[in-house]
Amino acid sequence: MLFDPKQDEIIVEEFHVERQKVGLRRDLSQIRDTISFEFRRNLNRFIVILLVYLSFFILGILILESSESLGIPIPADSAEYIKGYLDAQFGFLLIISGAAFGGSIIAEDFSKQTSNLLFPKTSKVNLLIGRIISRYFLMVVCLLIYYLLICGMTIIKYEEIPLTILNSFGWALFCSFALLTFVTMLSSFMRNTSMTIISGILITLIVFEMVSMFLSMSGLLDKNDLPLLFILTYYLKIIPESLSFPEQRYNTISFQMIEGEPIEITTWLTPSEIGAFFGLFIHIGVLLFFALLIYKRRQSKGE
Amino acid sequence: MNNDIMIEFRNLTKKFKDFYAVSNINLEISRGEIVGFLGPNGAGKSTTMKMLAHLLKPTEGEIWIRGNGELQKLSSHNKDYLLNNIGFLIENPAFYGNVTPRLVLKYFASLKGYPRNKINNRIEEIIEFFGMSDWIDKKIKTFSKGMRQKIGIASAIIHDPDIIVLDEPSTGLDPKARIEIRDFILKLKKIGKTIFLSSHLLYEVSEIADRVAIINKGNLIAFDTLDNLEAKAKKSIIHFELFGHPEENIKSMLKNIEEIVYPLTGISRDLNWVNYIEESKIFQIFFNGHSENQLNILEALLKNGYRIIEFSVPKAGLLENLFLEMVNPEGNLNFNNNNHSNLNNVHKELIVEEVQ
Repeated sequence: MLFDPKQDEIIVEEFHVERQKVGLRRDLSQIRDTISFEFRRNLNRFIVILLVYLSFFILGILILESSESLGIPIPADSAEYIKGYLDAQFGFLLIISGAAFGGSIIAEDFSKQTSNLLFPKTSKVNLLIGRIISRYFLMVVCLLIYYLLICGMTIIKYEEIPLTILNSFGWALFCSFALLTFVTMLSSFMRNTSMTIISGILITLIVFEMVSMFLSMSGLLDKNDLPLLFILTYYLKIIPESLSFPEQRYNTISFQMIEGEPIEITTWLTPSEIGAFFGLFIHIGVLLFFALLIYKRRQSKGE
Repeated sequence: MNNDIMIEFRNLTKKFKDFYAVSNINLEISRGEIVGFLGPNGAGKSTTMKMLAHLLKPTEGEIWIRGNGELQKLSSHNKDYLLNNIGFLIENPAFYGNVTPRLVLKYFASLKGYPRNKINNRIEEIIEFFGMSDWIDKKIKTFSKGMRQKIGIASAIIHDPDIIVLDEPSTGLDPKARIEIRDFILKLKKIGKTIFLSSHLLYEVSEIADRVAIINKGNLIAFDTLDNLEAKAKKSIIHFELFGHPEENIKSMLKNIEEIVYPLTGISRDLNWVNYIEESKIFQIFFNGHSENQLNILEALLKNGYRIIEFSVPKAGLLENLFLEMVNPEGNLNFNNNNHSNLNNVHKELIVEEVQ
């Protein structure tokens, strides 16, 4: 018993227990405990995001089925059919889930002042690792369910599943992790969770798109060996395209103006596999590095 | 070196740009005692606490913490090890709303390396200790501030540390919750914990602290036991009333009294003062508080023909007075409707001597 009011003199030593010593094992335990705690804490968020995924899937079915009922035949190739579920709206889905899971990852501790309770108990590195792993895992579960549903529909329609769906799923995992690290980086200097989520969605959906549109219009892209690899959302294009890679990775459209020479606009369809791999890898590394740096710096300012 | 010292601040200083939040603080906290850390809002209490928790790095100075039997300087390299035996409650504890106290306590206990097979028992002890059984499994978002504060203290001690650092544990709580928190702190002391408690609630500190450190504008202006501080806080003002109405020649009478009592007050001449309050017809004489001086003054006044019908030294002796005098040396204090900055100066002198 911790305290017995009837007992005036208490021998302190009898209450002492041998705590786990600090060091690598404690660090690993802290990461594991953080993962477990974050699973519980993000359960509601997970359910909401899963419902969003299911809604998007149902929407995809409705679109494809209604097209079929209107006389537009479904694609002859099952891979093309799957692409129907993984086009632009799937990128949006990944961005939303990345923002929802990553938005609170750091900013929340500063806005709610939970940092004062947490930081004396564990290191920021352990906390960040645990949180990223747990939230990424929840994202992966959502993705997995979405892909399983797609597989189910594909089997119903074609009685087969293209093996390239594994490539697509692999890229989806990689891209979603990159998006999560991007939002985590935003979260490291944002004031609160809502701002982080909104900024994350706006930057990825609007700012990145505007930059890539501007670059396409400027005519600079055809001279560039590494097109748009610095724009995170560009990598999302590999998720559907990896089902069956196009022969040419870009489209060039020519516009004839009223006066002067015609203008050629190059639109990149997908990054190459090697480019996407290293590009995402570098993105993740740089974003995580800055997230941790800002996170630590923020603490030293005493916010 | 004293084996009882658990925490020591050596010339601890924290500067934010040109502003000194904490300036040159020297403080020792011994095993098993409650040290109250008093100061008005913005005095530097939380900054000091955050430096102790290594949430902020000192600009200058050092923090020494007892670890493995010896005092060791707190640094980035050994902070995990040295802070392992300390439980912190820094400022208002904020929790994630969608989890239960049980889950939070379990998480915090495991973060601090409490043996996994004993965590559940430990949580049950804490529930009993804090009387949390009715709401331990409810979502925190529905809780009052007092309930959250209890969880905050519970989370600070969940891993059974020897040293507990509590920053403003009773701020914003209703009187009932304050009493409960105070009782918890006394219980913790009873089981041998060393407690460093910051507050701007003077009564709270005076009720439970063994020693009190007073900080103002980043400077430590006093650090002593409550008894010693209260002794210093003694008003040391004689009140006396004369038979009849002295208003007619009050100026000359005051001058005469000054000449009689100044050699007997026991304090330097430039700090002496005698005063008359018209409303209550009371004379006041500032003296050193010793009963021998008090008697000499009474005898001298009687010998000089003053017909005294009442003569007393009102007992104040409250920490509040000392605190206000020290943190507000420019005056604005009203001792029986009279401002006397020289009184403040005396107290400042006393404090300076004590700190040195």
